[in-house]
Amino acid sequence: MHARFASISCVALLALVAIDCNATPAGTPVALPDGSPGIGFDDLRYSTTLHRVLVPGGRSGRLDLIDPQTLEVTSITGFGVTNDFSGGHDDGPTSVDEGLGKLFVTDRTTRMLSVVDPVARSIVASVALPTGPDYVRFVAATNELWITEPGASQMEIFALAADGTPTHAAFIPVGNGPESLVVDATRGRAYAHRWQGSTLAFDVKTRAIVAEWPNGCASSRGIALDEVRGFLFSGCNEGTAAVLDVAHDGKILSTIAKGSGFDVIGYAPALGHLHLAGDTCACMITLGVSSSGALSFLDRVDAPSSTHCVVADDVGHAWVCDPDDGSILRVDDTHPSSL
Amino acid sequence: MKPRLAIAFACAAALVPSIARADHDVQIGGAMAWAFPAGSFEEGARASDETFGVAAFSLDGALRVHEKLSIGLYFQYGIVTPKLCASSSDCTSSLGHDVVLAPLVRWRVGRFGVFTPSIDASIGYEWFTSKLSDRGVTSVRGHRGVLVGVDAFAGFALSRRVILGPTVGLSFGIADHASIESPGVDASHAVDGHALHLWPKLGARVVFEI
Repeated sequence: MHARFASISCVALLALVAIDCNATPAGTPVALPDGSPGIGFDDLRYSTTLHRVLVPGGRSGRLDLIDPQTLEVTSITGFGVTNDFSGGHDDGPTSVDEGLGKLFVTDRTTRMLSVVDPVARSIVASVALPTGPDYVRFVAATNELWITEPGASQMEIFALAADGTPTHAAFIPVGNGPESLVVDATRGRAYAHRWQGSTLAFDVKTRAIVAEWPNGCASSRGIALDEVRGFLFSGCNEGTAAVLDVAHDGKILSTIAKGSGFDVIGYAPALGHLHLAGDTCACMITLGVSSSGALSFLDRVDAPSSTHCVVADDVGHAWVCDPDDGSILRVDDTHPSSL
Repeated sequence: MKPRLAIAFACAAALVPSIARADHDVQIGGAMAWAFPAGSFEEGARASDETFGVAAFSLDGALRVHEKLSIGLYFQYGIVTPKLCASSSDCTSSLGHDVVLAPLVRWRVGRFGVFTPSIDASIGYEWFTSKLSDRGVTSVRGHRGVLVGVDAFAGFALSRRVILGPTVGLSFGIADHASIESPGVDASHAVDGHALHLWPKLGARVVFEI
């Protein structure tokens, strides 16, 4: 009797410990071409003009465009290919942005910045980078591309010719950074994190750092912007998300801590929903952002244990990366607008 | 329990009757245990997001008030292991703590040779913090609230006054407050929806009888 009780107790304890371990990721998986060995995803974007999720395909050497409704995948090839998945995100194309009817892609294998014609589905120009790139963003106000190069603690700027051909223009030294990058066209600013503790505001015309604000993070990672409301979001590796008011010297309006392991974060401005995906929690957290900048918890779903990136589209989905599987998961966002 | 271990305990019980001794009124105990995280501190915030587990060091004292019952106090200082730190110095700086203070009731099941099992039930308060320190910049997450615990102790008398053995326990907590301290942030607030977190524990305990 005692032995039976002890056995039942042990099984119950093990079951309790295992509760958090067994979970099936939420969402509809979208397999990407040559994804089966795994893909080191990093930056994910959504193009409101192409109506496609833009997925730099890492070691597969492709830029994949996903139709958010039909899940059809279109690939643009010609980037650096690596056969084996290293487990990180150091190979092939890892960041993308759009502007002037073109897509701009950085490649960590070839260390190239490429200009892609999305209609012709081909690379139309490329230029070498001096070091490994992280994020690329188009700055419409100056017709430039800004590329973060954290390995060299700098931002590199390329001027774009009328046909979209980039030419190196300048470097901006950024000590202890830059991590992530977002452009605020309304205010003529760009924002990037230092690796720990703070976020920098750059004037895109003078290329100067004009402000530095505490961002609620010990380990700064993801960044996103609600340009209309002036809310800048910081996603911390340790699981905190913060809202900074860019119109009031970066004042922190709200913070919330759920999950952990966050990196690339996504924001749906029409819904006021912020998505954060993390490997440590194997989860995706969805937060509501009110019109006053207050964060509220909306949902938590299970995500792949290797995830660290998410982006939102404009038709009610979050897209979560699954590096180990080389796929992207489409997760329905059914929550009402928080604005 | 493995059969050989059970046989060894049975033999010890039979061969060492001289260790059997009169009951004592006061027990002072100390334990080391590993507590596994399960459940959530609040809606959307699982305990396993923040820690691999807690190395729990505890002290307890109990006074007999009935043949089989004692009442006392339980104190735990737990070291909360971090999940995200990158270097050994960051990991050391990222250790959090889990402090528990709780009155307890102990049921002294009986005495079977040297085998002296007991079961503790406690209800008290828990102060939990987890940390991430990244190159000297630290973020602290905290939760506090009521904790209810049940611990079973399989004690074996080593002498007239010393009992040693394994302990297994399960604590259930419901946090009522959460806090964040990080660069630019010092916030404390009621939790986002109550949730249950659990600490299944496994360890060793020593008891001194007075």
